[in-house]
Amino acid sequence: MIDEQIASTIPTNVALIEIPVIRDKKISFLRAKEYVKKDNKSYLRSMLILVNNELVTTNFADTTLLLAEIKKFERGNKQNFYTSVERHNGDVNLKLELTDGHIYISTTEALAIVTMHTIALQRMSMTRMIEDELMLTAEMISGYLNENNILNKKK
Amino acid sequence: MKGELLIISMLVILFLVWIYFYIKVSKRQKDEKYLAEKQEAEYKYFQDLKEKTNKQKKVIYYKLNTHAIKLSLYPSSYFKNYNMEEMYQKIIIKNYWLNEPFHSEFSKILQLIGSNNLWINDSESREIIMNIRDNKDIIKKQISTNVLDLSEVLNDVISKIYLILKNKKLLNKREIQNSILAASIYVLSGSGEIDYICKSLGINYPNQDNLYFTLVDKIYTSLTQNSKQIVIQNYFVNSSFFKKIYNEIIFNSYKYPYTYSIDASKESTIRLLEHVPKKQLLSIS
Repeated sequence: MIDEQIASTIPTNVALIEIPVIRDKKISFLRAKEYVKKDNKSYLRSMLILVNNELVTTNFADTTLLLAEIKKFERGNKQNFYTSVERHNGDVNLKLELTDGHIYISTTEALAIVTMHTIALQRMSMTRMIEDELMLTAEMISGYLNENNILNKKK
Repeated sequence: MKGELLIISMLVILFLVWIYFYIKVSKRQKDEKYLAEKQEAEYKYFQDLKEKTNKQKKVIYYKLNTHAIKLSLYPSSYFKNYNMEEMYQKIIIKNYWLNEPFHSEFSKILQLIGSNNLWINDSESREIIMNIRDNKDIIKKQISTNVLDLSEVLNDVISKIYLILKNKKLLNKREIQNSILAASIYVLSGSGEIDYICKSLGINYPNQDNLYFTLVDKIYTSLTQNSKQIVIQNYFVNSSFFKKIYNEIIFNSYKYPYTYSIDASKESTIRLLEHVPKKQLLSIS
C-alpha cells in the first residue's frame, strides 16, 4: 500500500521532452512525461516553459498563469506577474522579464504560443497531472535535464 | 780347541740371524696392528660425524621474518574520498616514496581536494536558470549545469602522467615527483570553485597566469624556495603535455548534474588544510 503511494508520487521513469514553440526567440515547452510499463501508457506529469537559458516556470499552475497572461495580451494590467504591456508607435507588445535581459512577444507570436499549448495538451488525461502533479525540485530537474541531453550546447 | 771355537762362533752367528728375523717380523706385526687400529678409528670418526650432521639437520629450525613491514603513513581517514585514498596507495605506498617533503605535501593537496568535493565546469554544457518554488511558495533562483568530478579527473591525470614518465626511464625519481606536484596544482586551478579557494587561502584573485604561482606558494608551504621554483619550472616545461592529457581525460569522463543558487557566496564553505594528523606506523598488506 505504502509502496504504491510512493511510486505514484516519486516516479523513476520520467522524461523531459522539449517542444520548440518559437525558434527565433528560443521559447519552448518542456513536458515531463511518465511512462508506465504495466499499463503501457504514458502520462503527463508537469509542463514547464523554457525561454533561452531560463526555466521561467517550473510547475503547471505557473505555466497556466503565464499562458493566461499571454492569451489576454493587451487586456492585462499592472497586476501581471510575469509580463507587462508595452506600447510603442502604435504597436502593442508583451515584455517578459528574465534574470538577465528581457524579450518582447508580439500578437502573432502570442497566438502561436497559445495554439501550441492547446495542441500539446490534446488527448492527454489531465487527472493525474492536476490531482498529484509532480512537484519538481532543483535536483530532480537537473537530473532529468542531464539524462535527456538538454544541457548539451547545440552546435 | 779350534773346533769348539768354530761351533761357538757359528752358534753366535745363527743367534744373531735369528734375532734379526725376529725383530723384522715383530715390526711388521706391529705396523699391521697399528694400521688396523688407525683404520678403525677413522671409520668410527667418520660414522660419528655422519650421525652428528644428520642429527643437526633435523634439529636446527630457522625462524623466518614473517611479521608485516610497518611504514609511517597517514591514516586513510585523512583523505575522506576513496579516489584520493586510491591515489595515495598507488603513488606513495606502492613505490615507497616516503621521502619528505614530497610525502606530506602530496597528501596535503589530496586532503584539500578530497574533503571539499570540488568540481570542474563542463565547457560543453549550458547553464539553465530555474525559478523554483519552495515549501512556502517563495521563488528561488537556481542554476543547473553539468560538471565533472575533480577527484576523478585528478586521479586519471596523475596516474597517466606517472605511467608515461616512468615508461620513458629517462627521468629521476625526484623529477617525476616534481611533475606530479605541478600537475595536481594544474588540475586544481581549473576548478569551478577557484574563487572561493583563493578567498579562503587569502589570495586576491589574480589573472590566470599569476594564479598558478600563488597557489604553489600558498599550498606547498613546507617546500623551500628553491624547490618551489623547480616545481614552477616543471609546469612551464610540461604545460603542453599536461594540457593534452587533461583535455583528453575531460572529453571522456562522466558528467554529473549539479545545482547551485545564484548567490552562491552564502553556500560556499571550503574547508582548507585542516589540522594535519601525525603519521602512524601502519602495516601494508
